Amino acid sequence: MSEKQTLDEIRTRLKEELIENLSLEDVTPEDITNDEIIFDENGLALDSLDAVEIVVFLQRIWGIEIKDMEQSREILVSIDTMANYILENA
Amino acid sequence: MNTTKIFITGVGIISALGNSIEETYGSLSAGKVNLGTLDLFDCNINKPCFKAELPAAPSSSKMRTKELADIAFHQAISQAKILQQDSQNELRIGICCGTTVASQLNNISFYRQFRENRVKSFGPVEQYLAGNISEALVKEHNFSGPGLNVVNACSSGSDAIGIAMSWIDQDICDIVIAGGADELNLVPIAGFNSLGILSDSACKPFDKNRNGLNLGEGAAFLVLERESTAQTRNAQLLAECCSYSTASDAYHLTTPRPDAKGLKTAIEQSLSKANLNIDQIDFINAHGTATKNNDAVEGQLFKKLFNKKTKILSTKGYTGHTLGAAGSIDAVLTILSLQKQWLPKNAGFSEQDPEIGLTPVNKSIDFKAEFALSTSLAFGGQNSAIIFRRI
Amino acid sequence: MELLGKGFANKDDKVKNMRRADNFSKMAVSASIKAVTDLDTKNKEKNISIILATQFGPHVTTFKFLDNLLDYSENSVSPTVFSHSVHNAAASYIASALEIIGQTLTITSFIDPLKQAFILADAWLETYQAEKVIICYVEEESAPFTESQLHCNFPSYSKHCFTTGAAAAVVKKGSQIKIPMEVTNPFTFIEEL
Repeated sequence: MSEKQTLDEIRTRLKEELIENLSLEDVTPEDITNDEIIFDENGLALDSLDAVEIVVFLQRIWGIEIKDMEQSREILVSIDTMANYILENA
Repeated sequence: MNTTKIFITGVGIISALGNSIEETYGSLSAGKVNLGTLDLFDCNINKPCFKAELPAAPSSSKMRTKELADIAFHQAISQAKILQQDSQNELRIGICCGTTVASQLNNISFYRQFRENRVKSFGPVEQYLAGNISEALVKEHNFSGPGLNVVNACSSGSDAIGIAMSWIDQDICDIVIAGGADELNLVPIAGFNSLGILSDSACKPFDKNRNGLNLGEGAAFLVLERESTAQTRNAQLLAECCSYSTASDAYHLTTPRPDAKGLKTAIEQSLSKANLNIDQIDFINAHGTATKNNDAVEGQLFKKLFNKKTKILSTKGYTGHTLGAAGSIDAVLTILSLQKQWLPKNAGFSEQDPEIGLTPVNKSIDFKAEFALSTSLAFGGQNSAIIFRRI
Repeated sequence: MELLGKGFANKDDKVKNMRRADNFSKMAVSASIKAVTDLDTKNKEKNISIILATQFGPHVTTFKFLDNLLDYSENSVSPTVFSHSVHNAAASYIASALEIIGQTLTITSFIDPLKQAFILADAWLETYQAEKVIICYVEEESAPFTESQLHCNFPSYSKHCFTTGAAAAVVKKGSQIKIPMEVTNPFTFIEEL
């Protein structure tokens, strides 16, 4: 399996988990672009509670440990930043 | 303005500081920080916490929260001289208690068995049903007044005092024993840990390098009544409970409003009800949990509203955050400071946060004070403020 | 007290902008919104307070959190589920939905929580701590509690009204509503106001 496919699989799973765990309404995985800023109002408009929820499912599914919110701000930017971090650290 | 003057005639407290007001004062004046590890039950979360030491072996038939509540409650009614015959003398005595843990059926053993369809005993459910603390205490003491639990998260202990004042003011009760109780429990430990706000060392309220709270457990009760009622019972007045106010942020489930509008409203309304100017507040026992958000919101507001002569401190560095008990424990510690004319050091503080711009009390001091403010901020955006006066 | 409006909700009610809220909170908000249709909460009406009363609180969410603990471990539980297991989440949602910045209180009792809520609302109105109060009663069923009722001595209050739903009443100062000695069924009581 090529690295690109693995990254694609991670992206798809991330989108599904975001929708499921954050109870995003009327959003499908196809609606989420890989580079949109998920905490931006023009993105998914997520908030601080969503951020900690993401930290928990990253740990649960991929074993990713995010030590503090400072570190999370660098990783939880877009599907791409999260997927790349997972690929390197899972 | 409040129409009825209400006084405190008894207090009781148990926390990591000690099992009585005397032990509490001894620990505070020695600057003792009894931070420990969690050994009450199996838990993989290795964060330090503030545990209370029960004076006797715990009962298997009572929730730990009820054990803590019983200890503090009996101290308070003993000091207030509420004897058995008071309930027979037609004094309407009510109880209002704040809690979080005791309001939930969260016994994990029972639930595990239920999921596996092999429940051995419904004892945990019976314990939960008997564990509405206020109702249980009213029944045990044969009081004629109401018994109500407040479940307003971290401001519950303060809000219970507020309800008590309303009951007395409206002549629903002659005496109300108000307070809060909460035990260290896996549910809030896991929950707060998942929110990323538990510190892995001693908490540092208002400090630049604060990185979260320590959970604690405990209970505190205050006996509230009119002066005339106290006089008929020869009960000593310990402090006046001048006013209570609460206001909502209407903002977010877990994050306080950054502009502190709800807290500002609660403080201003409390001052107005007590007919006081802001300059008359001599010190503030803050909520001060040592999370980044709470201390920033509270601290920045205090810096803006109060002048430099008003001393500010948090006692969470000695007790941890005791959730439903916090507001009532803070209230008792506020009254203790007024009685002793002394302020303990804000444990955990060493460096001012430039974003807050204030330095809390950083060594224990003798301090002349007449009026004190105690604030509590809750999950869900409730903000409560109580003002006490020295007698 | 005088009644200004009332509203009811069940678990099928849909509420906007509450994507991660549990049913308990959604029902509370839905019933409250229906009860306040005539109030101008944004502009003119500032001094409105909320009292939410319940016996058992959002225990479905508490059990969901316990599921997390058992299925995943202490370090992998959902902070969202935890936040909603705290009893006052529903009242917080009501305050946010209606932009109410007055007093917000959640109370529990196994004896007569709705009556206690009315007593407290009356006290607030009489002392001008609030001009209007939204009183909301919420309850929900769950398998553990349904099973436990067969084996435990539940309070008599529960036997009448252990159901899933929310009822809200908005009251102001007045003499129309007399607080009864006992409220045996909170939903019926609010319906008959």
